[in-house]
Amino acid sequence: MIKYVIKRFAQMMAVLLIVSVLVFLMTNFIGDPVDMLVPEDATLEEIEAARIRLGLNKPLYVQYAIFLKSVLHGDFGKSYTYGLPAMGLIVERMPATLELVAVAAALVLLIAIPLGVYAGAYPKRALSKFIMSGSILGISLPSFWMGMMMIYIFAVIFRCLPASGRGDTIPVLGVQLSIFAPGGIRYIILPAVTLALTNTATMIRLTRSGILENMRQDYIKYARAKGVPAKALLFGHALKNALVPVITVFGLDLGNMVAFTTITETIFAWPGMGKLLIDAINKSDRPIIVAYLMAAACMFVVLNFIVDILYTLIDPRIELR
Amino acid sequence: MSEKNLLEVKGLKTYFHTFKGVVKAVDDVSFEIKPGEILGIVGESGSGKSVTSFSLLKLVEPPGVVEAEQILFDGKDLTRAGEKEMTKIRGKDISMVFQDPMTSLNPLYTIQKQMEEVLILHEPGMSKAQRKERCIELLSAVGIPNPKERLREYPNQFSGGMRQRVIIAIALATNPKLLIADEPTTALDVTIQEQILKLMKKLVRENHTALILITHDLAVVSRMVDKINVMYCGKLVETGTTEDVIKRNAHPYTEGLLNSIPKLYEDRERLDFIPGMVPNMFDLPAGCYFAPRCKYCQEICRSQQPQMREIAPGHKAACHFPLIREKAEGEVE
Repeated sequence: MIKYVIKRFAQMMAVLLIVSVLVFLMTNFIGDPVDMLVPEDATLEEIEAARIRLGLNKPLYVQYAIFLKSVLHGDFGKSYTYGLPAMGLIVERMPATLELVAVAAALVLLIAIPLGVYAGAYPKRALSKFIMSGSILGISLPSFWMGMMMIYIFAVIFRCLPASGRGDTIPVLGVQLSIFAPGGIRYIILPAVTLALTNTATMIRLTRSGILENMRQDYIKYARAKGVPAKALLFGHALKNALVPVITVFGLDLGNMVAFTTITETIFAWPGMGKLLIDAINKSDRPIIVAYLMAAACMFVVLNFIVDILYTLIDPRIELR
Repeated sequence: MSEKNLLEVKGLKTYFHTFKGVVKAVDDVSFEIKPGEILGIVGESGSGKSVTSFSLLKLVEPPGVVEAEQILFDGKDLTRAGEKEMTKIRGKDISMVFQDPMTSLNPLYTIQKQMEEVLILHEPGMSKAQRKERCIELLSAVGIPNPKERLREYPNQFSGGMRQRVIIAIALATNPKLLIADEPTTALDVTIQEQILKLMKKLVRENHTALILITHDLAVVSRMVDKINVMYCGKLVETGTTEDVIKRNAHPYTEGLLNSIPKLYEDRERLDFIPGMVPNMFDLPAGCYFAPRCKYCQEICRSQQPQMREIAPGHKAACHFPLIREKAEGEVE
């Protein structure tokens, strides 16, 4: 187990190194940062001087080496627009995004698993068919459209939920969170539902097919012959066996949600990392883009590692090697 | 033999309503079993043996429909029992051993968890320590070495024979009144088959549990059981004591089955077999279902279905022309 963890850790580092190369090269193509930094009326000499001052005249691999060295020290450079350390800005915005993702993820699990189990256990019932058609709708409708529709319905017509912002926050263990603040929870409902929608739909279908598949197995019939009641049969026996693919996809979804809350955050003006990224891209703020991509890659890698560990907790036949 | 019947099945019909038509998997089958008795149900694949057993426990899934005049078990009529009542009976009063031990156990739970499951469900008074004690006791009873350590293991760490032993242990955990074993040794090595059968017989006798042993192997049955039911295409064709059915069999189908068992004292190139195939369940012959394959077939056999008739006390067969054998002839074997 420890050997596996060490091996996986080395793999994770390798992945992050490759990501850093890609990120570094890509950002080199998206525009000359010097144009952003010098005053609009700068002369050619001034631009050249800035280029030398920033080290941008050096060959690319030297630039990368410098970049890597400072990244390893946790220094992603200062944001061009804010003049503050880029990683600091990301970390500052992270709680808002993580809060949103956590609520959305909880929604996904709480809604998708029971509905999926139901639809898998009783595939012929009308409600199951309704759930399945609903999930197709959830998959096919783009989330930004759903977000706008929800703003229109709940914030404009019924005026019962706020359309944008995060509301009040209170510090919980040193992190600013809004779900625990009075009234804060009203702000998170619409963005969280929007973010959860597509993932819930796919998760329902995945859970359903897993349950459907497992309910046909001998061990389910055997458990029934042992006198196991229907509920324990579904949630105790069949669901656990259906869970491995569900967890795999959920882990990926979680990474996706963290990295791509951008759309939801933009629609609802949620002050998280995603909104920061969009602003940074608009302003060619390279350090923030780089810091954001590296942070997202880190989260993906760590989540996948956790998923792999979870496999072994669920299925004893899976060995970590 | 004056004891009351433990199970009385009358007119059991399990029909599967499919798109292609109705399959009468079990058609008007009646039998009974006394406490502690061992009954063998024999027949080819698709003869309705397994469906009979699942029907008793009401474990037949749609499109299957179980109907019966009466399934009287221990004074209760199971035809009227709802799903809730059945879950209380399953695993407690009637337990089952399945055909394939490789797929019967849930791969994700330890043996202990799966054994304790029945005890938690059916013996709620037991403490945790008592349950563990019982599991260890059961595993040693079915001949699993180091039961304490093996309890913590998962099914994939057990061989087929060992898993079937575990399943037998689970089946006996609650001291059921009736155990149904559906081809318990079909998926096992021949060497293991014998051990498992002996073990089952021993445990069943010790606990005075009635056993329904379902098999396609008449040879297995003849050494194990007190009574035999022979089934063909969902119909009961012959029933009687083991001696009646093996030595004085009255139905030509039973004769065919018996003749297809290799015998040590006979030196033959080929075994006897029953000509033809089991008829299509969607398209059964009008008369006796066995008529197209029967060497004694007459005109009436093709048009009229034979009813169960008593040939000797306790020995019945559904045949227009039952083979009558003298005692002496049968006992040559």
